[in-house]
Amino acid sequence: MSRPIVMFDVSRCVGCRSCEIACAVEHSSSKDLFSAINEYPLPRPRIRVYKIDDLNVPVTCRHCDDAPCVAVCPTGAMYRDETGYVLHNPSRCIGCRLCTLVCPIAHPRLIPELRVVIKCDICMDRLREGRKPACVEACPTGALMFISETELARERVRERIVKALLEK
Amino acid sequence: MSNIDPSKATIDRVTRELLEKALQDGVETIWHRFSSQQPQCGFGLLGVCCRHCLIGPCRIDPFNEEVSRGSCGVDSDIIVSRGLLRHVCAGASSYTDLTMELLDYAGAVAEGRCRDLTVMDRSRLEELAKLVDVDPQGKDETKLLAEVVEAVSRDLGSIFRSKIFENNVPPEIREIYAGMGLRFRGALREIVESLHKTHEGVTTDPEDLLLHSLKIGLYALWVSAYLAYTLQDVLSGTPSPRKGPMGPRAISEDYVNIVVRIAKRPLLKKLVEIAKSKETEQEAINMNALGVNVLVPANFMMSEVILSTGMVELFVVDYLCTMQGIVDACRRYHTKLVTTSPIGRIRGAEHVEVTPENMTEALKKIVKMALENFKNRREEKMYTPRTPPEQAMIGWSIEALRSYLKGSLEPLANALKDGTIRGIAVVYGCTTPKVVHNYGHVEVSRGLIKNNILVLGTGCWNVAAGLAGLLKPEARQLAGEGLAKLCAEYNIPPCLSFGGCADNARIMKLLVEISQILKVPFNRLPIVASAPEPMAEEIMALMFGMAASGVVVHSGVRLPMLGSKLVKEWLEERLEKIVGGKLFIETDPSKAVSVLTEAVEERRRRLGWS
Repeated sequence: MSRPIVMFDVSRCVGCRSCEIACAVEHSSSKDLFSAINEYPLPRPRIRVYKIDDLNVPVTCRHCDDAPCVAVCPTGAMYRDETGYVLHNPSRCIGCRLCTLVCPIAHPRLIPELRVVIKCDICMDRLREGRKPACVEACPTGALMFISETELARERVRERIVKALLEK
Repeated sequence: MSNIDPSKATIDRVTRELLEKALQDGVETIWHRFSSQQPQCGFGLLGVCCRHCLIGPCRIDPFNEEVSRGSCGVDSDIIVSRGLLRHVCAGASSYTDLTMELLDYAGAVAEGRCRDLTVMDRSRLEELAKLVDVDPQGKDETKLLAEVVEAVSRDLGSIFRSKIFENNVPPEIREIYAGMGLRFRGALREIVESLHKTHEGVTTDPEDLLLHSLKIGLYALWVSAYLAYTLQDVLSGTPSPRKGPMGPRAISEDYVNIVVRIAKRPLLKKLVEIAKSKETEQEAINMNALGVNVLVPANFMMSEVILSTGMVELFVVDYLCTMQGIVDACRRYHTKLVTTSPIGRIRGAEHVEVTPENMTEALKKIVKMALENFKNRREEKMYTPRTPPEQAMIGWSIEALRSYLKGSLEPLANALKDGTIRGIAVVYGCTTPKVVHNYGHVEVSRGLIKNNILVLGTGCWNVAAGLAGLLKPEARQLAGEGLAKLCAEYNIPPCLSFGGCADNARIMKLLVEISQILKVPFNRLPIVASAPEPMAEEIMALMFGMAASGVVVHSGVRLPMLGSKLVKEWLEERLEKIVGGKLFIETDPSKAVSVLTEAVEERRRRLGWS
């Protein structure tokens, strides 16, 4: 069975960037917005909303099955854990950015003051508690979904094909 | 609909019961809708979202240095201070507009167009006359009222100066701001000017924007709210405390019940008069009821669940914070919602416009609507809470307090100076789903009186304090030794309910009198203020006005300002150096009590009072 990742529906994204805020707070030490803004180092969002032409595109790690970042990492900082997600160990990272270079969406980002990259960790702590990733929970319009491609396909079939057939 | 746990929503037993009943009846409440709003936008919570021009919306990303300026170049300090000034202007506008509607009524009385009201308190009218340089000598009430209305209108709209501001704000406060280059013109000019300042491309100096928030706060408190309560006293008499049942238990099965949220006391008083008339009573008896009751049984957060008693015939409002959600709640029962003022129109309500000219006629129509709706009650929806009723004394005024203190405020002033009581706290109203309902109010009030700090409160705080049993003389058992002694000697409660939000200006007048008796500058007195559960922009205006007057002010809810370190530091530290006041945020009520108590003790030390 395929594992769920953060999928997005660009037609529903209003560009509010609540996902970015939620991601940064989730990766802060206080986990509280009002404290997080004053922390050092400043917690950074892993997810980013890009404006491309007329579309708002919320992008985060795809947790690739054949992840080039894992293959290319010279220190083993980038690894796949037993659950199948691509994770990153900052204590082994040297900030070479080879992962950024080979990533098809250039997702890993260097944090200069830390001299390491950061990437989406799929909110592993939250998953263990049975919760969804912070960005998905924060999305006010449902543009972000925590869903596997099998489930996504089923959703799409229901929305696009079954509905169209029923309307005929 | 999300799940709401009544035991976590409110600390009040009767509200809990009514919320449970409302949930059974399928009523959607403010708690449900607030829950569906979670999580709330982080940019908005921090106050770093700017929507003042059409280039926006812009926001500062606290987690990304590349997004540290809006399109026009403003940073978070500017966006936050500009946003606060707009909020404060809206709050001050509410009091100013209330005052202007009351001036409509007063003007109509003076011109003989309103025959339903008269001058009920000449001394209050003379007090107002003096402020605006009208000589009361040899003038009858009507003539004096006409001249005062004219002079007050001129003062509010004056492009050049406001005598009301100059006369009301203690000189020691006014001079500080005058020295910083602020000018004090009519309230309307000041509010308009400050809105102008917040327009794109006008003022971006955060310190200037903050100073103007303070100034508009001063106008809200010392001019607009002052005029509102004074005009209400003129037209409906100066209040004195009455003891009666507090809260939802006042809703009686045997009576036709009209629940009100009405800011204009003269209108409320007239409504009660009509409801209690022999004629109405007879009509009620014909409908198998014992009479008609006009009640204020709920604060803001309770206004939907109160309907789950199934015994509210009519919900009558002018513009006293009535949430739209009540319309849907009314539809679950037989209750009808009626708006009365052209200022407050609610979608889905019936509108019966009450004007100075048609008061009796319109209010009779409203009472008749209530009587006729009595038969539409549905037995299966009716519910009387099991929680026993609580008694409360409400409606204090300076005059009433003076008479309880045997003719002078000196016993209170002396008790303050000699340390019998340590300080005086003003607690503002409002309730909000951001704080467990009534928890902030009750914790702060109990904590303060326990520390021998007398509490004076208004608005939605009244119902919270009343339901917790703090508004009756016996509540002195919960007070510290000194305060309990003072309360016992004069038979007053340790928490005094001073009426609606505009009556905060009445409290200011009381504090000024104490400052004069003790010959201590206003901003050095051991006075503190707290808004434990603030929601409305009006309360924001009061908080700024109080902090600007040199008082340490607590907010139990985060104002949209924490996205700017400069603003936070300015309001917590710089303001203290300017005038002695401060505005701080603390979401834990018991910690807030400690800070407020320490502020009182610090003032005492500086005054050399033991």
